[in-house]
Amino acid sequence: MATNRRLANVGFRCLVALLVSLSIVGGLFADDAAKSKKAARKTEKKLPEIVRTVEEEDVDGQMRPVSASRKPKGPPSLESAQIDELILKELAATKTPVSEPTTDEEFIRRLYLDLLGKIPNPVSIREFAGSRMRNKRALLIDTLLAHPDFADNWARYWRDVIAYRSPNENDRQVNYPAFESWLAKEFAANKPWDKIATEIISATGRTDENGAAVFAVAETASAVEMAGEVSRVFLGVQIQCAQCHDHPSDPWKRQQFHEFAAFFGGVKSRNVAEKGQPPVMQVSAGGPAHYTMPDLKNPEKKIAVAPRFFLNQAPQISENLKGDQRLKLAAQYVTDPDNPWFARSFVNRVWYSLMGEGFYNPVDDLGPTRTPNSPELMELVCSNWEASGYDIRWLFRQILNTAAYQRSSRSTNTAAGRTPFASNVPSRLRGDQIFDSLTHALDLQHERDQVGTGKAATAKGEMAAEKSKGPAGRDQFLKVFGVDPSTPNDDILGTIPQALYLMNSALITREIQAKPKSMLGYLLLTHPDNRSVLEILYLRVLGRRPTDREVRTCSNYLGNVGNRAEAFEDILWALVNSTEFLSRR
Amino acid sequence: MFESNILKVGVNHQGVVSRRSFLRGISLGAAGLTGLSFTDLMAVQADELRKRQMSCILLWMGGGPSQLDTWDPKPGTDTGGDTKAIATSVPGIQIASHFPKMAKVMKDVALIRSMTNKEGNHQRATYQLHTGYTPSGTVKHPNYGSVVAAELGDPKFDLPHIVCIGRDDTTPAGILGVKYEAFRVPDPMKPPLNTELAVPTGRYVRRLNLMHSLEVGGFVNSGGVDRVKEHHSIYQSTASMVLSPHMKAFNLDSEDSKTRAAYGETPFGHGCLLARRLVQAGVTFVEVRMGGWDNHNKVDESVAKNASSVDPGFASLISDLKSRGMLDRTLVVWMGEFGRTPKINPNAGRDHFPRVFSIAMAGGGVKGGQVIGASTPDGSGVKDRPVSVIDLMASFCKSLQIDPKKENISPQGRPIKIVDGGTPVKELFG
Repeated sequence: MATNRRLANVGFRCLVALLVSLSIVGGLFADDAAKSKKAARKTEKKLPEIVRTVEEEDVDGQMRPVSASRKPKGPPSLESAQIDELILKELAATKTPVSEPTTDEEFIRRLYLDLLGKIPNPVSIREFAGSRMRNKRALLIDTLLAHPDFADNWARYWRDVIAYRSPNENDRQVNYPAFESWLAKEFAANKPWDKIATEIISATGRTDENGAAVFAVAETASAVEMAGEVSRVFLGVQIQCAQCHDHPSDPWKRQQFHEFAAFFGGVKSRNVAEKGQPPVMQVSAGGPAHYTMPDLKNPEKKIAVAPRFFLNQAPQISENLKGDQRLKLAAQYVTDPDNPWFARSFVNRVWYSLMGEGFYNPVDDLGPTRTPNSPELMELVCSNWEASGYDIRWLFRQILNTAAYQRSSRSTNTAAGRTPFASNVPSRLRGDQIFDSLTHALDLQHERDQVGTGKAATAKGEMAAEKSKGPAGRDQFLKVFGVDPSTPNDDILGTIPQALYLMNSALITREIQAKPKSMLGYLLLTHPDNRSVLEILYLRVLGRRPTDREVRTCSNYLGNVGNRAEAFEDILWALVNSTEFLSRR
Repeated sequence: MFESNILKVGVNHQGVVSRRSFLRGISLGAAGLTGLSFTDLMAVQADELRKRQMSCILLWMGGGPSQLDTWDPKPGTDTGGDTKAIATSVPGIQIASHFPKMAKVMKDVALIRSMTNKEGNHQRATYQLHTGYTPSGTVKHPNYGSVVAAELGDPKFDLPHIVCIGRDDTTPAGILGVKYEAFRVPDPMKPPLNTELAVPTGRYVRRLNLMHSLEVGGFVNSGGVDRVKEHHSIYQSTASMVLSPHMKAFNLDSEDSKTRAAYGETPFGHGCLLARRLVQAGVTFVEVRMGGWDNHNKVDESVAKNASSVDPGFASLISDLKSRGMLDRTLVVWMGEFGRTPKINPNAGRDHFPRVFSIAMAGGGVKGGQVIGASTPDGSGVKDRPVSVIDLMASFCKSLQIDPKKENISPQGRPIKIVDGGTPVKELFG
């Protein structure tokens, strides 16, 4: 943890070190090595494990490998420049002007938020902006992708994707911390997305031992809930609407939904904790499926349904498969390269998060009847990502290195803002991002060295930081600031309790005070010049220097209030409460 | 209020309408009234709503209260246990002896003793009794209170339209969004969280102005104009709320000691009193949550204890609303997620039982002094006139003059009726 944090704090300083000693980051720059590794993984992939298992057991002759028709795949050839070329071609056709490139200050803040889920500190910003290295942006991208906070940030994102739609009303049963830390480990190891999805879909066992099994508990181990969410989360396809009737606007039939649900027919979860202890759920996959769906005309009557995947003209599956085989087979159908929705769903989510605009919106409602933005580009990214073996960092790296990602933001009220990918689009931060950014902006861990004075962090602060990834109270904070990440950005607008928290809460009130030991108090003490205090505050909270107009407004304010400490408290309050602090831009 | 050049988006008091849902919210009928500006339309609608002024108070009995030890006693039988029955102000109606004050106001109360449902799981049944739907991952159905708030809340009112009092959170607003999320008051004796200004009012307003003038020259010019508008709209609503004179409705200290004593100096009594104050101030929907009804052990003792706060709180709420002329336009509902088994278990408790249970209603045009439906003598089922959850929800709609067939649209574009079927219990309305 100490190493991680130092990485975050020292930030850009690391980059310089990296160049000097490439061996520290090992494979990061060793492209060829990485490529050959990926190629090796692809070869392995040709005969997926489950197919082999099922073939060996040959349950009753009905099985055939779902990937028999797999296209040959090579390593991905897509470069960021190709993405830009395609985007510019489309924009030229509509004569849409593109936004200016981001400044270094804008870029580093955006990248920190997107990858690490928090804002950069003033030291990192200054050093990055001051660096004259030609490829410093690409280097920073690689450094942050390898940072442990990248894994934590995205594990929280996916935790929320599931938690916010969970039909399990009993929160104590669903061990989200276990899911989050399991997923963070997967991301940290850069496990391919198809492997992660497979582990989640087919997970069994105790949730305190296998975090992936939390998914089944979140879905109350119910076949229809699991089927609906597996489809929504991993394919972006809302087949669950067909649970009760044929889908009104998509091609899915009710029968197809229940055939997919039949894969999850045997799943059960039960509490195995000692009496009086917090629940620990154990998920089991069950024996041969006996899935039934209610007859619409007579709800008392049950119709037996055998498992069958709803895409790719998949064959019907024997009902005699054991539960764990059924789950693995379901995972295989979902992640199969011949099923384009698996790649589209993930690529679209990442793209939407990074660009503020997706191929599809909402991110969990794709499907054959929806028309994506830039379909050609989307297919290019998806097929290359698939060729990479669903390499998550590869996908991020290709997008982050585009000029399109690195364009400045515009309001959707402008032509460039309305046209996808002509600019980046601002959005409100997720709850975790706000929490971690507040921690940094207000120096809640008392990392006094961050303000650029060179003073070392206190031993106490260090210890507190060791223990947790921020001050206590993330859970409480998220109860007020949490938001479903599948919600379209335009619909995430903040709430009155959130405004009340930032305006009046005891924490904010205490931490913005100019007391001798507070961040602001220390700053005022060590910087007699108001201009430099203002500059550091702006860098800390908003990740940029103040504009001339802002300097004037604040100087006037200081003059009118007539009390330096009080005026700066108000300025800090205004910055923490500002839209800009709460936004990704 | 602080000066504003950019606060021109649809302002409301819960948060701000997103551009999308705002457009969605304009009905075909309203859109047909060309020539009227948005503000005019809102004014027209608000006037119409104010005429109705209907409100609702839900007294939520979490855990599933025993019908046999409250509104449907069966003294002298194995099923009835030790609970005794007492006569009420309405000849022929008896209730459990734990509720002497309720007995006195029975003229204003309608009891339904034939509620019936299938769900015996706390969380799922709580969701169902709060939304009229069973939980599903597909659609997050809105809390019924959020629906009422959305339908009846006056857009110009500066407090939240829906307030939930008690330690537990209520069911979310689901597809209706943050705008109609219940505003929580965990402890009725304390002001709601973070509503007390951290600095004197003058300095608070000064800070808001500073924030505003900094953003107008900053983020607005670098792509954030829409975000800033939305943010400031919420800040304006929030500031309106914390600076509103209506905020004093949250302070029970201004009630005289006699009134407070009548409601009872208990969390539930305080909750009922606060509910009345909030409705009086103009809040549309208030839920008062009380737990402690999951009586698997010693049901008799537990109900007696619960009743000692419910009886004075509920009865005083009814008589107080009545004496202030507010009862006719305030629907008061007492219910939990299910009832409890007629069989008393070895721990002298009763287990979950959705097949037949009781609820109580008063005000809101409901005809009091009557019992609707009946359980069988052994309490094992409905003897007469089954009432389902959706029948009950449809009845609330009738009382509050809300169209139960109105559809709200889920993010996937799926229409969700306020109540999916069901028939209002016509006896309730004379």
